Amino acid sequence: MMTPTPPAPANDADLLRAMRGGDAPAFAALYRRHQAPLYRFAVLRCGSPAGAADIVQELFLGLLSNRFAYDPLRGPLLHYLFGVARLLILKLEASLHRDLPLPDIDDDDEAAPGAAEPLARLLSDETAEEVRRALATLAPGFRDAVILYELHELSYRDIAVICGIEVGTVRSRLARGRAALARQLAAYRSTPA
Amino acid sequence: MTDHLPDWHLDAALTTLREQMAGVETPPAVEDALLAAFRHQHRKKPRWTTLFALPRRGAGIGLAGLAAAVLTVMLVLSTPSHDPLPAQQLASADDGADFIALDTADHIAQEPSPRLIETDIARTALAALGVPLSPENAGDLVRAQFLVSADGRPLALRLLTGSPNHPPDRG
Repeated sequence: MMTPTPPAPANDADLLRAMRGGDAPAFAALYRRHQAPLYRFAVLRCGSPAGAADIVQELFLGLLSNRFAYDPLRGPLLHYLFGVARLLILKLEASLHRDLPLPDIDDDDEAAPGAAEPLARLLSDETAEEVRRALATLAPGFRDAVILYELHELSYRDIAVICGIEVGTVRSRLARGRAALARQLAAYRSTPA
Repeated sequence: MTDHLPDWHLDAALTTLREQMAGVETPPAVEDALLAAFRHQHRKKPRWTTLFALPRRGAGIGLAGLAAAVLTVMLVLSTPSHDPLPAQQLASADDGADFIALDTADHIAQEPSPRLIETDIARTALAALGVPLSPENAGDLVRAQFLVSADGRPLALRLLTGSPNHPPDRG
């Protein structure tokens, strides 16, 4: 006797359609499917769990209200939401650092402008916390590339689409971002306790 | 002493971060807030909210005219001459005519205890809402139904056919 095949999980486009038709479980399913990677990106990118939670909430409220015009033909929903999250965080940073000069991504300096504020502890592992603090010292463009490549294991092409840059630029920012991270981590370890 | 971590060491550190982050999720309160927002957006509207229509464009009403109409209606309703309809008459009073909204759709939908009041009102008071006014009918009274909030604030109104002084149907 053949075992019945369980139905395939609904894809994002089907869930979005159902959600817009008022299907609450579809909305919940969509949220639960994508909230974690988006939150992790936002936490590493902006350094604040509370800020990251606000970003995730704003992302899904935007989907709910149709404020964000997602086109399935242009790529996966998660990648689209990474892109929107990145822009929301840039906007937030611009409002917080209004008095500082805007970071010019073509500058030689991979470091973020202004002094990095101490991060509240998020992870129990000391090494992981060190890397998180070191990431926070990178300029936004370099931080995006490193987080999306190293933590979310996306391809150069996917990162290029998410960040709105060329693949070559992704490669360059990743290399320079990693080098800056390596220097920062070495500096932490050489600093006497 | 090296001024940067060797690649293999950096890779190991990044792997540790990735593994530690794997257990990090959005606080549950965010999901609660989003589901509440979803329910609010898709809540079933009370039946009577489908009966009204916003004033037509081009009627030249504008916000100032609407505010003036609301103020006039409130003054009229503050006099004791109107007749609140008993509950059993509310359904039979619905002859399918559209209501004209005097407040936002959200406020009307959120009103917990709306009442329907029928009263005569000067035609001039309704001119700002597009009710035709001429020298011949300027002194007329018009029979209208008002949807009002629990505290007497007018939410919507509609003119009743067969109102006194209402022009007869030529059809």
